[in-house]
Amino acid sequence: MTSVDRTGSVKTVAADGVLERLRVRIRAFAASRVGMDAADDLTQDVLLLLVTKYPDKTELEDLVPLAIRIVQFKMSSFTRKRVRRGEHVQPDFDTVVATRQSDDQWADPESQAERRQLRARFRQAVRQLDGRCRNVFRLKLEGRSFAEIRTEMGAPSINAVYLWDHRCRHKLKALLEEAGGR
Amino acid sequence: MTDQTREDARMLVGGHATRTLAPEERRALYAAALEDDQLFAELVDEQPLYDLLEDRDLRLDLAADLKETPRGRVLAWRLPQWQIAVPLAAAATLVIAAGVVLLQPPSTPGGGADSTLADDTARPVDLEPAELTPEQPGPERQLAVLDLPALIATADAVPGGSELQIESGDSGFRASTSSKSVGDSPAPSSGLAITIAPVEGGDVLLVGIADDGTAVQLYPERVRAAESLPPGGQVRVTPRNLDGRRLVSVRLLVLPPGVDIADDDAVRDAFANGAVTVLERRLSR
Repeated sequence: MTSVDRTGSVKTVAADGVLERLRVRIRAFAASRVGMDAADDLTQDVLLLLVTKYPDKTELEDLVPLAIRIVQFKMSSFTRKRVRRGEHVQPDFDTVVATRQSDDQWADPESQAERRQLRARFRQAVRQLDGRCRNVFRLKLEGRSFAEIRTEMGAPSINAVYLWDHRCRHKLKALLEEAGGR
Repeated sequence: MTDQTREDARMLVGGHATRTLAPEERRALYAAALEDDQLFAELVDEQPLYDLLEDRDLRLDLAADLKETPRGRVLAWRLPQWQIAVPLAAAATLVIAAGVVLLQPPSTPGGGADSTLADDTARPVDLEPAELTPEQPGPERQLAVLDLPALIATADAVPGGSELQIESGDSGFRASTSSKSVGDSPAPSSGLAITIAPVEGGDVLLVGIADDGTAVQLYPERVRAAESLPPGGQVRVTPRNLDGRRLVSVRLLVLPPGVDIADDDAVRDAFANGAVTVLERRLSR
């Protein structure tokens, strides 16, 4: 059994301590973006969701991406609430997940608009990639693994592919910023 | 976690949103993110993109976009920026024997290079762009579009740069910083044959300077994974995208061994280090 107190501390953690380490990371991340006071609340919210709604998720591969998704969602909601003073109604995370799974994605109009903008900016940025980055990114989008990309592009090692992709990601980020930021 | 492990994991972030990671890579990334605030933050910031690319149709749609050649692949910049500089020291250690031979128009199949200039031992290899694809093994890569104006500006800063001439030698042509001119050659009307016999050297990029000061990339149009140039031989290129302009000179950029011409960063570094050799041949009317 796992529980979370008011400060977000996990009383009984999963065997490998994943939740406790997640708590530390989430709190640090939230504090860096929204301040310490809000960070504690946000951390608690995220962990409560993880513990109460997703008790079956105990593996690192499941918990970390789920926690990241919830954190990003909570942070986004928090920012909107702060902007729209007096409005404190936000859709439940479960509802968001459920609507995405039902293919009625981003039902919230504001999220829909953000998604449309991101989609347009991303497409514009991707189209500007050239040379090796263009090929690496194309192969990734086609579903190839890094090992397959290595073979396809004749890279001397998989580390070379990691390095290419790392550099290309930075280029893409720069292009995204030029296209309006992310 | 060691710094090395953290850095290794950081290299995997780009594969997260595109669902590129293998199970072991994914586990390594998440494990590292659990221990590292910055990496964790990177993944949170990547989440909107992750959500966007959840749509497989969109991923495939974007991939199809990327199969098309981007616009503006012709490199063009003003001539004054081409103040070619080559370190004098390069002359002593030059290991490239390269020649640029003018070709009579395409009525001379198989090259038609001037036999007094071409390297007799060179193996003719026809790399006319239209014929590039089928013969050579290995996956094809697109040539990076380099920011050449910026690179040339860097080359300007190299001291001792006098224009490099190309002289006839035992093995094709030997480049030196001699002030002796080898004279002008007639400008091609439709094709160039280039005899290149590198003893040692890296990827090569050939550009033509037009009479209005702009430049067009002549060779290669595409490069291959293993090499962009045959080990020695003759290549034929057909100047394209001239749009009525006339070529007044051709310049051959020779990268150091190990520098991949498709790797913009590496090429930029080579220019910054003065390690790129530039050979020029002026063409007469």
